[in-house]
Amino acid sequence: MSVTTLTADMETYSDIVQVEDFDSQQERELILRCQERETAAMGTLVVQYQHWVYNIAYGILGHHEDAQDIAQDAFLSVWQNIGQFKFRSRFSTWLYQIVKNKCYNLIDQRKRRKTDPMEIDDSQPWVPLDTVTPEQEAIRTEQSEILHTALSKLKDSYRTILILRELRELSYEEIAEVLNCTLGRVKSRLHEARKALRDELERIDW
Amino acid sequence: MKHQRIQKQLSAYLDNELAPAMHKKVDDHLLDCQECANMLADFKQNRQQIAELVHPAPSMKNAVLAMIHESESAPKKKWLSIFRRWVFRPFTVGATAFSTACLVVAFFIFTYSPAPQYDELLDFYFGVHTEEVANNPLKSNVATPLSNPTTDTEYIDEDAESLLNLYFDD
Repeated sequence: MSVTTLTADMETYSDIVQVEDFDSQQERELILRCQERETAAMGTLVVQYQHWVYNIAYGILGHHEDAQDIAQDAFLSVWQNIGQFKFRSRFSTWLYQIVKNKCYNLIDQRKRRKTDPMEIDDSQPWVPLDTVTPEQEAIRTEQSEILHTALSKLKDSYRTILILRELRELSYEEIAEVLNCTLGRVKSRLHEARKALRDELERIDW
Repeated sequence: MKHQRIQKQLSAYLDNELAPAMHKKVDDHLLDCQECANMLADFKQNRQQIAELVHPAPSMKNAVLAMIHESESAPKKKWLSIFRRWVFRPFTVGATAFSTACLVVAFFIFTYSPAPQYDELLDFYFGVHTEEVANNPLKSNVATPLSNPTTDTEYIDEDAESLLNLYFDD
Protein backbone atom coordinates (compact mmCIF):
# COMPACT_ATOMS: atom_id res chain seq x y z
CA MET A 1 0.00 0.00 0.00
CA SER A 2 1.46 3.35 -1.00
CA VAL A 3 1.97 6.22 1.46
CA THR A 4 -0.53 8.39 -0.43
CA THR A 5 -3.23 5.73 -0.28
CA LEU A 6 -2.53 5.12 3.39
CA THR A 7 -2.74 8.86 4.17
CA ALA A 8 -5.97 9.13 2.23
CA ASP A 9 -7.34 6.12 4.09
CA MET A 10 -6.31 7.62 7.42
CA GLU A 11 -8.18 10.82 6.52
CA THR A 12 -11.22 8.79 5.61
CA TYR A 13 -10.89 6.95 8.89
CA SER A 14 -10.60 10.15 10.92
CA ASP A 15 -13.81 11.38 9.28
CA ILE A 16 -15.63 8.15 9.83
CA VAL A 17 -14.43 7.43 13.34
CA GLN A 18 -16.75 10.17 14.50
CA VAL A 19 -19.35 7.43 14.75
CA GLU A 20 -18.22 7.07 18.37
CA ASP A 21 -19.28 10.65 19.07
CA PHE A 22 -22.45 10.30 17.08
CA ASP A 23 -25.25 11.44 19.34
CA SER A 24 -28.11 8.99 19.73
CA GLN A 25 -30.61 11.82 19.31
CA GLN A 26 -28.99 12.83 16.02
CA GLU A 27 -29.06 9.21 14.93
CA ARG A 28 -32.76 8.95 15.82
CA GLU A 29 -33.50 12.03 13.75
CA LEU A 30 -31.55 10.64 10.82
CA ILE A 31 -33.43 7.35 11.00
CA LEU A 32 -36.76 9.17 11.14
CA ARG A 33 -35.75 11.18 8.08
CA CYS A 34 -34.77 7.95 6.32
CA GLN A 35 -38.18 6.53 7.19
CA GLU A 36 -39.62 9.56 5.41
CA ARG A 37 -37.57 8.42 2.38
CA GLU A 38 -34.99 11.22 2.52
CA THR A 39 -31.92 9.94 0.68
CA ALA A 40 -29.60 12.66 2.03
CA ALA A 41 -30.15 11.32 5.55
CA MET A 42 -29.34 7.83 4.31
CA GLY A 43 -26.11 9.19 2.84
CA THR A 44 -25.12 10.52 6.26
CA LEU A 45 -25.92 7.18 7.90
CA VAL A 46 -23.78 5.40 5.32
CA VAL A 47 -20.83 7.71 6.03
CA GLN A 48 -21.25 7.20 9.76
CA TYR A 49 -21.40 3.42 9.66
CA GLN A 50 -19.57 2.32 6.49
CA HIS A 51 -16.30 1.84 8.32
CA TRP A 52 -17.62 -0.62 10.89
CA VAL A 53 -20.02 -2.34 8.54
CA TYR A 54 -17.19 -2.92 6.10
CA ASN A 55 -14.81 -4.13 8.82
CA ILE A 56 -17.29 -6.57 10.27
CA ALA A 57 -18.02 -7.95 6.80
CA TYR A 58 -14.30 -8.09 6.05
CA GLY A 59 -13.63 -9.81 9.36
CA ILE A 60 -16.22 -12.50 8.60
CA LEU A 61 -15.53 -12.95 4.88
CA GLY A 62 -11.83 -12.12 4.69
CA HIS A 63 -12.12 -10.65 1.22
CA HIS A 64 -12.05 -6.98 0.27
CA GLU A 65 -14.46 -7.00 -2.67
CA ASP A 66 -16.94 -9.33 -0.99
CA ALA A 67 -16.90 -7.15 2.12
CA GLN A 68 -17.53 -4.03 0.04
CA ASP A 69 -20.39 -5.68 -1.87
CA ILE A 70 -21.96 -6.99 1.33
CA ALA A 71 -21.63 -3.59 3.04
CA GLN A 72 -23.34 -1.82 0.13
CA ASP A 73 -26.01 -4.49 -0.05
CA ALA A 74 -26.59 -4.17 3.70
CA PHE A 75 -27.10 -0.42 3.40
CA LEU A 76 -29.56 -0.99 0.55
CA SER A 77 -31.46 -3.44 2.78
CA VAL A 78 -31.45 -0.84 5.54
CA TRP A 79 -33.02 1.67 3.17
CA GLN A 80 -35.63 -0.82 1.98
CA ASN A 81 -36.56 -1.98 5.48
CA ILE A 82 -35.97 1.13 7.57
CA GLY A 83 -39.73 1.48 7.97
CA GLN A 84 -39.72 -1.71 10.07
CA PHE A 85 -37.17 -0.32 12.52
CA LYS A 86 -39.16 0.61 15.65
CA PHE A 87 -36.29 1.79 17.94
CA ARG A 88 -36.70 -1.27 20.14
CA SER A 89 -32.98 -1.96 19.86
CA ARG A 90 -29.97 0.12 18.95
CA PHE A 91 -29.71 0.94 15.26
CA SER A 92 -26.13 -0.37 15.17
CA THR A 93 -27.27 -3.75 16.54
CA TRP A 94 -29.97 -3.98 13.88
CA LEU A 95 -27.48 -2.99 11.19
CA TYR A 96 -24.84 -5.51 12.31
CA GLN A 97 -27.51 -8.20 12.34
CA ILE A 98 -28.26 -7.44 8.68
CA VAL A 99 -24.55 -7.52 7.84
CA LYS A 100 -24.03 -10.81 9.67
CA ASN A 101 -26.99 -12.43 7.92
CA LYS A 102 -25.80 -11.24 4.51
CA CYS A 103 -22.31 -12.58 5.18
CA TYR A 104 -23.69 -15.97 6.27
CA ASN A 105 -25.93 -16.08 3.20
CA LEU A 106 -22.93 -15.48 0.96
CA ILE A 107 -20.92 -18.17 2.75
CA ASP A 108 -23.85 -20.61 2.42
CA GLN A 109 -24.21 -19.79 -1.28
CA ARG A 110 -20.54 -20.50 -1.82
CA LYS A 111 -20.75 -23.75 0.10
CA ARG A 112 -23.71 -24.83 -2.04
CA ARG A 113 -21.87 -23.94 -5.23
CA LYS A 114 -18.76 -25.63 -3.82
CA THR A 115 -16.54 -22.66 -4.54
CA ASP A 116 -13.61 -21.69 -2.35
CA PRO A 117 -15.29 -20.42 0.82
CA MET A 118 -12.49 -18.33 2.21
CA GLU A 119 -9.92 -16.88 -0.07
CA ILE A 120 -7.63 -14.58 1.87
CA ASP A 121 -7.15 -11.27 0.15
CA ASP A 122 -3.48 -10.52 0.72
CA SER A 123 -3.56 -7.43 -1.46
CA GLN A 124 -5.20 -5.43 1.31
CA PRO A 125 -4.18 -6.83 4.70
CA TRP A 126 -5.55 -5.22 7.81
CA VAL A 127 -3.35 -2.36 8.89
CA PRO A 128 -2.78 -0.70 12.26
CA LEU A 129 -4.36 2.70 12.63
CA ASP A 130 -1.71 4.73 14.41
CA THR A 131 1.55 5.73 12.76
CA VAL A 132 4.64 3.82 13.94
CA THR A 133 8.31 3.44 13.03
CA PRO A 134 9.14 1.32 9.95
CA GLU A 135 10.48 -1.53 12.13
CA GLN A 136 7.40 -1.57 14.30
CA GLU A 137 5.25 -1.38 11.21
CA ALA A 138 7.03 -4.37 9.66
CA ILE A 139 6.50 -6.43 12.82
CA ARG A 140 2.90 -5.35 13.06
CA THR A 141 2.26 -6.16 9.42
CA GLU A 142 3.69 -9.63 9.90
CA GLN A 143 1.65 -10.10 13.07
CA SER A 144 -1.48 -8.87 11.34
CA GLU A 145 -0.97 -11.32 8.49
CA ILE A 146 -0.52 -14.20 10.93
CA LEU A 147 -3.55 -13.08 12.88
CA HIS A 148 -5.62 -12.75 9.74
CA THR A 149 -4.60 -16.23 8.57
CA ALA A 150 -5.49 -17.68 11.98
CA LEU A 151 -8.85 -15.86 11.97
CA SER A 152 -9.68 -17.11 8.49
CA LYS A 153 -9.13 -20.70 9.64
CA LEU A 154 -11.64 -20.42 12.49
CA LYS A 155 -15.26 -21.54 12.28
CA ASP A 156 -17.58 -18.84 10.93
CA SER A 157 -19.38 -18.50 14.26
CA TYR A 158 -16.10 -18.10 16.17
CA ARG A 159 -14.76 -15.51 13.73
CA THR A 160 -17.99 -13.52 13.85
CA ILE A 161 -18.16 -13.36 17.63
CA LEU A 162 -14.49 -12.39 17.88
CA ILE A 163 -14.93 -9.61 15.32
CA LEU A 164 -18.01 -8.25 17.07
CA ARG A 165 -16.36 -8.31 20.49
CA GLU A 166 -12.71 -7.48 19.87
CA LEU A 167 -12.97 -5.21 16.86
CA ARG A 168 -16.25 -3.41 17.49
CA GLU A 169 -16.27 -3.95 21.28
CA LEU A 170 -19.96 -4.77 21.42
CA SER A 171 -21.29 -5.71 24.85
CA TYR A 172 -22.41 -9.28 25.59
CA GLU A 173 -26.04 -8.12 25.42
CA GLU A 174 -25.55 -6.54 21.99
CA ILE A 175 -23.73 -9.62 20.70
CA ALA A 176 -26.57 -11.80 21.97
CA GLU A 177 -29.01 -9.57 20.09
CA VAL A 178 -26.98 -9.61 16.86
CA LEU A 179 -26.40 -13.37 16.97
CA ASN A 180 -29.90 -14.05 18.29
CA CYS A 181 -28.74 -16.23 21.18
CA THR A 182 -28.62 -16.17 24.98
CA LEU A 183 -26.06 -14.37 27.14
CA GLY A 184 -24.78 -17.71 28.41
CA ARG A 185 -24.22 -18.88 24.85
CA VAL A 186 -22.32 -15.68 24.03
CA LYS A 187 -20.12 -16.21 27.07
CA SER A 188 -19.29 -19.82 26.28
CA ARG A 189 -18.88 -19.29 22.53
CA LEU A 190 -16.59 -16.33 23.06
CA HIS A 191 -14.41 -18.41 25.34
CA GLU A 192 -14.30 -21.24 22.80
CA ALA A 193 -13.50 -18.75 20.02
CA ARG A 194 -10.64 -17.16 21.95
CA LYS A 195 -9.27 -20.57 22.81
CA ALA A 196 -9.54 -21.69 19.17
CA LEU A 197 -7.74 -18.55 17.99
CA ARG A 198 -4.99 -19.11 20.56
CA ASP A 199 -4.55 -22.73 19.42
CA GLU A 200 -4.53 -21.67 15.76
CA LEU A 201 -1.88 -19.01 16.41
CA GLU A 202 0.27 -21.54 18.29
CA ARG A 203 -0.05 -23.94 15.37
CA ILE A 204 1.02 -21.25 12.88
CA ASP A 205 3.98 -20.23 15.08
CA TRP A 206 5.18 -23.83 15.12
CA MET B 1 -12.32 -30.29 37.98
CA LYS B 2 -12.20 -26.89 39.65
CA HIS B 3 -9.38 -25.88 37.30
CA GLN B 4 -11.49 -26.70 34.21
CA ARG B 5 -14.48 -24.83 35.60
CA ILE B 6 -12.41 -21.75 36.37
CA GLN B 7 -10.68 -21.89 32.99
CA LYS B 8 -14.03 -21.63 31.22
CA GLN B 9 -14.65 -18.35 33.04
CA LEU B 10 -11.41 -16.70 31.87
CA SER B 11 -12.95 -15.06 28.82
CA ALA B 12 -15.79 -13.50 30.82
CA TYR B 13 -13.23 -12.53 33.49
CA LEU B 14 -11.23 -10.67 30.85
CA ASP B 15 -14.37 -8.77 29.78
CA ASN B 16 -15.40 -8.01 33.37
CA GLU B 17 -18.62 -9.91 32.86
CA LEU B 18 -18.39 -12.12 35.97
CA ALA B 19 -20.29 -11.71 39.22
CA PRO B 20 -18.04 -10.33 42.02
CA ALA B 21 -17.89 -13.67 43.87
CA MET B 22 -16.81 -15.58 40.77
CA HIS B 23 -14.40 -12.81 39.83
CA LYS B 24 -12.72 -13.22 43.22
CA LYS B 25 -12.53 -16.99 42.76
CA VAL B 26 -10.79 -16.57 39.41
CA ASP B 27 -8.43 -14.00 40.96
CA ASP B 28 -7.45 -16.50 43.65
CA HIS B 29 -7.07 -19.33 41.14
CA LEU B 30 -4.82 -17.26 38.89
CA LEU B 31 -2.34 -16.81 41.72
CA ASP B 32 -1.76 -20.57 41.88
CA CYS B 33 -2.34 -21.72 38.28
CA GLN B 34 0.30 -20.81 35.73
CA GLU B 35 -1.60 -22.49 32.88
CA CYS B 36 -4.65 -20.29 33.38
CA ALA B 37 -2.49 -17.20 33.85
CA ASN B 38 -0.77 -17.90 30.51
CA MET B 39 -4.09 -18.44 28.79
CA LEU B 40 -5.42 -15.15 30.13
CA ALA B 41 -2.27 -13.34 28.99
CA ASP B 42 -2.68 -14.80 25.48
CA PHE B 43 -6.34 -13.79 25.39
CA LYS B 44 -5.36 -10.25 26.36
CA GLN B 45 -2.65 -10.05 23.72
CA ASN B 46 -4.87 -11.42 20.94
CA ARG B 47 -7.65 -9.05 21.90
CA GLN B 48 -5.32 -6.09 21.71
CA GLN B 49 -3.97 -7.20 18.35
CA ILE B 50 -7.40 -7.64 16.82
CA ALA B 51 -8.59 -4.32 18.23
CA GLU B 52 -5.60 -2.55 16.70
CA LEU B 53 -6.24 -3.92 13.26
CA VAL B 54 -8.82 -2.26 11.14
CA HIS B 55 -9.13 -2.03 7.43
CA PRO B 56 -9.75 1.48 6.11
CA ALA B 57 -13.14 1.24 4.45
CA PRO B 58 -13.62 2.58 0.94
CA SER B 59 -16.17 5.36 0.63
CA MET B 60 -19.43 3.82 -0.42
CA LYS B 61 -21.88 6.68 -0.01
CA ASN B 62 -22.18 7.38 -3.73
CA ALA B 63 -22.43 3.70 -4.64
CA VAL B 64 -25.16 3.11 -2.06
CA LEU B 65 -27.11 6.19 -3.13
CA ALA B 66 -26.87 5.06 -6.76
CA MET B 67 -28.20 1.62 -5.77
CA ILE B 68 -31.03 3.31 -3.88
CA HIS B 69 -31.96 5.47 -6.87
CA GLU B 70 -31.87 2.44 -9.12
CA SER B 71 -34.11 0.42 -6.82
CA GLU B 72 -36.50 3.37 -6.38
CA SER B 73 -36.77 4.01 -10.10
CA ALA B 74 -37.66 0.41 -10.87
CA PRO B 75 -40.00 -0.69 -8.09
CA LYS B 76 -42.09 -2.80 -10.47
CA LYS B 77 -39.27 -5.27 -10.79
CA LYS B 78 -39.90 -6.50 -7.28
CA TRP B 79 -42.24 -9.27 -8.45
CA LEU B 80 -39.48 -10.40 -10.81
CA SER B 81 -37.08 -11.00 -7.95
CA ILE B 82 -39.72 -13.06 -6.13
CA PHE B 83 -40.34 -15.05 -9.32
CA ARG B 84 -36.60 -15.48 -9.82
CA ARG B 85 -36.25 -16.73 -6.26
CA TRP B 86 -38.84 -19.41 -6.93
CA VAL B 87 -37.30 -20.38 -10.24
CA PHE B 88 -33.93 -20.89 -8.62
CA ARG B 89 -35.42 -23.17 -6.01
CA PRO B 90 -36.60 -26.04 -8.21
CA PHE B 91 -36.87 -28.53 -5.35
CA THR B 92 -39.20 -26.26 -3.37
CA VAL B 93 -41.30 -25.52 -6.42
CA GLY B 94 -41.42 -29.20 -7.44
CA ALA B 95 -42.36 -30.37 -3.95
CA THR B 96 -45.08 -27.71 -3.62
CA ALA B 97 -46.50 -28.45 -7.07
CA PHE B 98 -46.54 -32.20 -6.40
CA SER B 99 -48.25 -31.77 -3.00
CA THR B 100 -50.86 -29.44 -4.50
CA ALA B 101 -51.55 -31.84 -7.39
CA CYS B 102 -51.96 -34.75 -4.94
CA LEU B 103 -54.42 -32.74 -2.84
CA VAL B 104 -56.47 -31.75 -5.90
CA VAL B 105 -56.61 -35.32 -7.23
CA ALA B 106 -57.57 -36.67 -3.79
CA PHE B 107 -60.31 -34.06 -3.48
CA PHE B 108 -61.86 -35.04 -6.83
CA ILE B 109 -61.59 -38.76 -6.12
CA PHE B 110 -63.35 -38.51 -2.78
CA THR B 111 -65.95 -35.97 -3.94
CA TYR B 112 -66.97 -37.46 -7.25
CA SER B 113 -66.36 -41.16 -6.71
CA PRO B 114 -69.20 -43.17 -8.38
CA ALA B 115 -71.45 -45.67 -6.61
CA PRO B 116 -69.86 -49.12 -6.34
CA GLN B 117 -70.27 -51.14 -9.52
CA TYR B 118 -70.22 -54.89 -9.26
CA ASP B 119 -68.88 -56.26 -12.50
CA GLU B 120 -68.49 -59.78 -11.20
CA LEU B 121 -71.34 -61.80 -9.76
CA LEU B 122 -69.17 -62.99 -6.88
CA ASP B 123 -68.36 -59.36 -5.94
CA PHE B 124 -72.05 -58.63 -5.80
CA TYR B 125 -72.70 -61.60 -3.50
CA PHE B 126 -69.89 -60.61 -1.17
CA GLY B 127 -71.04 -56.99 -1.08
CA VAL B 128 -74.64 -57.79 -0.33
CA HIS B 129 -73.75 -60.49 2.15
CA THR B 130 -71.40 -58.20 4.04
CA GLU B 131 -74.03 -55.48 4.18
CA GLU B 132 -76.70 -57.89 5.33
CA VAL B 133 -74.51 -59.34 8.06
CA ALA B 134 -73.37 -55.92 9.20
CA ASN B 135 -76.95 -54.65 9.58
CA ASN B 136 -78.48 -57.73 11.10
CA PRO B 137 -77.93 -57.87 14.86
CA LEU B 138 -78.62 -61.58 14.89
CA LYS B 139 -75.98 -62.40 12.27
CA SER B 140 -73.39 -59.84 13.22
CA ASN B 141 -71.07 -60.03 16.21
CA VAL B 142 -71.01 -56.23 16.33
CA ALA B 143 -73.82 -54.60 18.31
CA THR B 144 -75.77 -52.24 16.05
CA PRO B 145 -79.03 -50.44 16.81
CA LEU B 146 -82.15 -52.09 15.38
CA SER B 147 -83.67 -48.80 14.38
CA ASN B 148 -82.34 -46.53 11.69
CA PRO B 149 -80.95 -49.14 9.27
CA THR B 150 -78.28 -47.70 7.09
CA THR B 151 -78.58 -50.02 4.11
CA ASP B 152 -78.24 -48.03 0.95
CA THR B 153 -80.42 -49.63 -1.74
CA GLU B 154 -80.36 -46.85 -4.27
CA TYR B 155 -78.01 -48.64 -6.61
CA ILE B 156 -79.93 -51.98 -6.59
CA ASP B 157 -81.72 -52.17 -9.92
CA GLU B 158 -84.18 -54.83 -11.06
CA ASP B 159 -81.56 -57.37 -12.12
CA ALA B 160 -79.75 -56.91 -8.88
CA GLU B 161 -82.97 -57.35 -6.93
CA SER B 162 -83.70 -60.63 -8.67
CA LEU B 163 -80.21 -61.84 -7.87
CA LEU B 164 -80.75 -60.76 -4.28
CA ASN B 165 -83.97 -62.71 -4.06
CA LEU B 166 -82.26 -65.72 -5.59
CA TYR B 167 -79.48 -65.50 -3.01
CA PHE B 168 -81.83 -65.31 -0.04
CA ASP B 169 -84.24 -67.93 -1.50
CA ASP B 170 -87.24 -65.56 -1.47
